[in-house]
Amino acid sequence: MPNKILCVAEKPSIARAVAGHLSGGQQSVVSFAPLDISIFVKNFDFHYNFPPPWGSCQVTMTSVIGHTVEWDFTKDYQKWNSCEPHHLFDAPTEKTVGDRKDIAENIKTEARCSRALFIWTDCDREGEYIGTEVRDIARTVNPNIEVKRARFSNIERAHILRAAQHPVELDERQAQAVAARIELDLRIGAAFTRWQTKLLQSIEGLEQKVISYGSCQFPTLGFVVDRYRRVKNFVPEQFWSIKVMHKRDDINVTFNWDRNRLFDRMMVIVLFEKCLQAKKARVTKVQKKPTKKWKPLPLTTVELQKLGSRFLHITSQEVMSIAEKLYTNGFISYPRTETDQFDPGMDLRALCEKQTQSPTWGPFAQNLLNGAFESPRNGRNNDKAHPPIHPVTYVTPNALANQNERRVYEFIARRFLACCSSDAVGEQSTVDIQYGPEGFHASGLRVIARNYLDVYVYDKWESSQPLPQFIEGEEFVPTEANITDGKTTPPGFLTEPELIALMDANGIGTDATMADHIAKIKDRGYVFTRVRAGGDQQASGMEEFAPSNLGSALVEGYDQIGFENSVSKPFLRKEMEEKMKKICEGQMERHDVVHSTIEQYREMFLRAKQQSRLLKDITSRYLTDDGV
Amino acid sequence: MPPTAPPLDHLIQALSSPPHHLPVKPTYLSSLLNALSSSPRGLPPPPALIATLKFRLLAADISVSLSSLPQHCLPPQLTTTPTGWCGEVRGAVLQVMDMVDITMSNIEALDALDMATRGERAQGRRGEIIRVVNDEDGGDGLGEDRERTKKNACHKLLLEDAAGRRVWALEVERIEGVYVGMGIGGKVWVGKAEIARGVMLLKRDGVKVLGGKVEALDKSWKDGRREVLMRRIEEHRGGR
Repeated sequence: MPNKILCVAEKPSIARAVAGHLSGGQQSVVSFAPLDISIFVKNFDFHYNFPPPWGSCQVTMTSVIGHTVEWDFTKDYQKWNSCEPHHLFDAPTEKTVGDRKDIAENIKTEARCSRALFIWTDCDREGEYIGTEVRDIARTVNPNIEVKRARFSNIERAHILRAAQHPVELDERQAQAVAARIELDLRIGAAFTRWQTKLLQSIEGLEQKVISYGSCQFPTLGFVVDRYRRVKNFVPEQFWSIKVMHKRDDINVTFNWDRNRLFDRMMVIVLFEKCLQAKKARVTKVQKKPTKKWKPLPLTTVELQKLGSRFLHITSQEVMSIAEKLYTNGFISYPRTETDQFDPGMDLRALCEKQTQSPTWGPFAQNLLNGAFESPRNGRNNDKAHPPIHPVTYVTPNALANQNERRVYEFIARRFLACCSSDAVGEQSTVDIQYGPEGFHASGLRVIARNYLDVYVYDKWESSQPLPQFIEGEEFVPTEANITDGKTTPPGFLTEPELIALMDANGIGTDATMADHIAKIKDRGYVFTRVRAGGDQQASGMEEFAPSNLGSALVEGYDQIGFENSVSKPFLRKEMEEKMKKICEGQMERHDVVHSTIEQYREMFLRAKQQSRLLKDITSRYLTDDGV
Repeated sequence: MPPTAPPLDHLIQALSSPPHHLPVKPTYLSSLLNALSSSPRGLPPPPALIATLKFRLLAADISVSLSSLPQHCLPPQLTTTPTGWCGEVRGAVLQVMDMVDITMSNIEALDALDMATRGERAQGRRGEIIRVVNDEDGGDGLGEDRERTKKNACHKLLLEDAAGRRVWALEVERIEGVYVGMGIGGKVWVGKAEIARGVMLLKRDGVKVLGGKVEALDKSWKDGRREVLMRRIEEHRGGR
């Protein structure tokens, strides 16, 4: 066997980049017989010195395009009327190559004459699984082929070379976890989708619609409906407050009530009168304290999605798609990560150095290198797979395709530089007074050094009006004191960052999939979005979610069917995600996870079937009475 | 011979004085002692007797068990004069009939109640609880619980004396033992409190929570709580 090694990446662009680095630009391109999509998949041939035992090798680098293998039920069960939906929990499944035949053929052809197979798929669970797909295809023609895996977090040359020199084993456990998820989503999704679609199709307005079910979609929908209900059921209540004002040195100082506000008018009047009775207020504490506004933590996927929504008004799906592109082009590190601490061995200064080229934040980066550099804060998470999201190299705005790409890259760059600077420093002065039985306080902020705020323009911290001089123990008659009132206001509908935060807190989806689930419930017509108008600057312009009538009907229907773990609540999916984690850690076997989860859902399915009348009536009501 | 009870006077004296502050009605005390004597275990020995009697008194309705002499009750002017009456209370024993945390809106109180209820049910579901994350303000889960009461809560209590007079009392300073859910029928000793506009102002050094609760009253309060909150919310909906 010639000393040939086959390298397979997850996407053509990665294959091209890796081939370029390993070959030193000396790769020769050999496209194979094009057939539709495989027009984009090229094979690159070159020489490379791998570490022992392989040594100097001939290399062919190619790629797949995501999943090559599809999972579905066997032919007998594919038609909707072929069986009762709950049979799908146990029906036989099969893996087929589907419309990726030519990609699979390419792998086989190259694997036949290769000594080893190096997997270069993305380093996350899905990538690990795709790696096993490729391995299995290769082994059909070359059962003894050696299989190794390259581990990399960005497409930079040094990084890729290091990955090639230190190959590892494929993580079979992660692949098993993904296999479990795929099987569960297939069985549970199909069973419930078929059943509820057939049940509800007879309702006017739903005739042609497929009413899909997904075990992540429903809890996501559940959060939206929950908030919607709160807003709809909200009743404003009046509250009262006491405000004390005093003029000194031509400055009007407002003292805020320590109790903030009370919801009982009579009691506020009683307390207010006691204050007035005392006539004089006494200063109980005067304090000047240094204070700081902390610089941000290193950037994770969830934070990028949340803040992309909040600051840039870009949906999480678009943010992730842009981030993917920036990564594939070698501008940023792998954008799917939970890690919010930088490895101490990383050369962060070198990364800052690259940013000095920017006409906008270049000077700030230069300043860091001239001595202002400070180590980033450490968060609490480390997924041990990838570092926090950071810019790998500087890219000029013109080299990016559109405004949104520029803004996302800018955010990532600014955030990184902010991590490497100092906290903002200020001085907080407070004055506490006792007026009758009640306490009040006034405060002033003086921002002394903006530091990270100069580059991280997304955070605000402004000096307030200065406080005049007060002395502890002094007494004065306040210029003015009165009772004010207000009304509570309803919360807004759920915004995307809030929804992501809820999904994150409740274990729905992973950083890789959250944006997809949100997109799905929009696509299926379960929720719709609108731009929030008016209000404060930060909140307006953001997308907010409201459930459609169909979405509300489904959640209410399933809630009333009263599952112990209603499908619109996050518990079941959270448990599933936790079991996935256990497979990765070797604590559970894929078979047990699939089996136990199927049993849970089978029980719920039967219960739903018994109560199908209820679900149908509720949906009917929502769609005809327009949600009343 | 079974132990005889100490003289009634001694017992009344002991119970009325600090730290118990329970001026028991002589007739009620007699019936209590009789009941205890004729019970299977008989009268407890002297040291335990006071504790047992105290326990029973804290669980009994104030109107039947405690003295309605003026020195133990609220000033009559409170009920006969329209609000605006100012004065002082010295040494009254009162029973808690209702409590409201006025730092919370009714909707917040209802939420807290529901979360506490769900929290208990969720325990049965292997400890899974939805953690609600709110971006704008940290809405913490407040509850019907001593542990869950906010540090800066402010309660108003509806207090009743042995003669049946009632007054709303305001916690001007946070008082140990006061929280929503503290037990209807629980007893409070007011050593010293000012009354302004018909409202009793409670400060730490004038008040002591004695504890206890009247089971029947407490249960009906707890059972009806959700409905009461919903009704108040609806009243707000109608506009004021």
